[in-house]
Amino acid sequence: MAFVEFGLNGIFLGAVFGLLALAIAVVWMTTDVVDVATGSYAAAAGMVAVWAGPPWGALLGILAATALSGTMGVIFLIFRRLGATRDTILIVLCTIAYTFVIESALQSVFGTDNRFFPSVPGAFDVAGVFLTFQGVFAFLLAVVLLAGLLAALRWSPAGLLMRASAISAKSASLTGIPVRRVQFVVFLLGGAIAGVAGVLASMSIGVSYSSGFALSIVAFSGAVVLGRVTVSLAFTGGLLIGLAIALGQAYLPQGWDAATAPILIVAVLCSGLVSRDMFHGARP
Amino acid sequence: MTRSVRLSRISPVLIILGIAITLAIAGEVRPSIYATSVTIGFFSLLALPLGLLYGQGGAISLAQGGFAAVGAFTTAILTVKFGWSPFASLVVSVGLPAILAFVIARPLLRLPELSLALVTISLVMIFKVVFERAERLTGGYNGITGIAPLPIIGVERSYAHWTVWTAVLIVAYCYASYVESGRGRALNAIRVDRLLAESTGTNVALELSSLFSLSAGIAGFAGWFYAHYIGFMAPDSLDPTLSANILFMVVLGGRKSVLGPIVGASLFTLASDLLPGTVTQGMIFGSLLIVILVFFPDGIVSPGMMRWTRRRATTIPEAKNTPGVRLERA
Repeated sequence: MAFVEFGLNGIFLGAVFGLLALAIAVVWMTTDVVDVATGSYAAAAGMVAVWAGPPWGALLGILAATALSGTMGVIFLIFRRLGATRDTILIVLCTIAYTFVIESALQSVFGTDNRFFPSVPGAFDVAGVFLTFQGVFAFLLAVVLLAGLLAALRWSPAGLLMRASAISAKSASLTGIPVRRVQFVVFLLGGAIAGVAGVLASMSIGVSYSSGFALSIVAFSGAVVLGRVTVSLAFTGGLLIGLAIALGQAYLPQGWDAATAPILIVAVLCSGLVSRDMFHGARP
Repeated sequence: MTRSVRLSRISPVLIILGIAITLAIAGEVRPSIYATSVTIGFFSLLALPLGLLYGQGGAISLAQGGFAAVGAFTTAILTVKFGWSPFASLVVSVGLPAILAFVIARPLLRLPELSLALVTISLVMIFKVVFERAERLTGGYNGITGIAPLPIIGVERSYAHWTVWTAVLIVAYCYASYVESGRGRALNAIRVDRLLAESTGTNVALELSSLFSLSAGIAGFAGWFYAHYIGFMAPDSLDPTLSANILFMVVLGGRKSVLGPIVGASLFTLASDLLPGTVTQGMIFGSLLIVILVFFPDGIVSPGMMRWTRRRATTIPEAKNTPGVRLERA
């Protein structure tokens, strides 16, 4: 029973990581940039939400995260405008530097405490398995968001533009799609999703100014762990990472669970499961 | 060997010697400058080999800080817990990261740049968890205190200054000679096109692995020096942020030249000393980094400037048709 309880709570925790992995994957697929600052958008969203308090704090937090990722989007556009063939790794380094900026800003405004947004109260018990309403809420919200995103990508005109730009930016631009504008919108979308994840994180594990980088690493491991990078696989990967971390917390000696995500990244990327093309922006 | 080639090996070394002497003179006037100069030297030792690996060989690594931490913890454990002499532990401090790097290099260095960056930073995070958790050896979060200063050098700052800068000079000379040699050209060929380099008889895997291992060994040496200089080592002393910063030093200073990493290291150290407020520093500094990365992607000491000191440019220009896709605005 304990195993099932740890497992289910891990999957509920994984909903947060799943959303973050989703945010990273969407931006990565469309712009070829792994946005290392994604976790920091989430941390910022959580901190702003706690500061403003319920009920509107959550919305404000998500808006803050979107504004931050929008700024990154602008930096990306300037970078590409100045040199279209420049090495993508430089813009990834920019996102690492941006992480420093956000961390420092959060620390000077909100201090160093780990902060919590009021969570959904209550808990229940199903056949001896003890679960919180907060966990169920986070999981359901994440699944609804995922379904919404998938539906939007599948059927809406904007989703069609995004998919076209992700498959081949070059062909998309030849057919008259404003690829740069689409990429900017995707940055905003990624920020908003990360913002939701951040508010959810502040309701369960709490967020501090320095959570961002660790969250990004966990989310990235979720995005790649299943080998192919797609929207739904990234989300599933995030759930699995949550599960692995929760089981690690329960059964490994204390503290070793922090190594779960980095070990998975090393294992998955070195084994060549993820196609090399994912890192070159030359997908068919 | 033509005169210009010999000049191009010597001139960066002379410039670095000039910097070291200037800093030493300034240090005699104001002793606090010695502390800054030792830090610059330490960062340069980490950044220089990465400059060779990334700037010339095109293989990025975010693990330099991690390898330095391995070297530092090795000597801390061996000297404090087992009573070794610092010079005996030096062998292990350099050897362990070098061997570790050589073993993990093959699967790693096959990876494309971006995934290599993420894998190496993950490695550093794993190292950190190990340091925090192997409490009996590393002292956990508290780390190891009371690491004895090096014999002869002791706590005398000017000696520490000359030790670290001598090491920088040697590494810089080797870097410059390497780039001029046939193997250096092979390394440039690897960066531009690995398959082509392989087809002309370069053993790409071996070249990159040994270079990766060498840079880890030098980082181990820097860590060894750091541990004995500061006298204290904890998992937070040399953390993943440092590894990222080392890469920034290389990119900012100019990854294509010998002097670039040293210029980057100096700028970093001076900026963190001069910018006000430790908390707000990240904002100013991060923004500066972004501006430089976006507007001057080749760094401060770029090939254009190098041609001024070198008669003959040996760096092969980047191939124009690699990664990014050229896009027309719709």
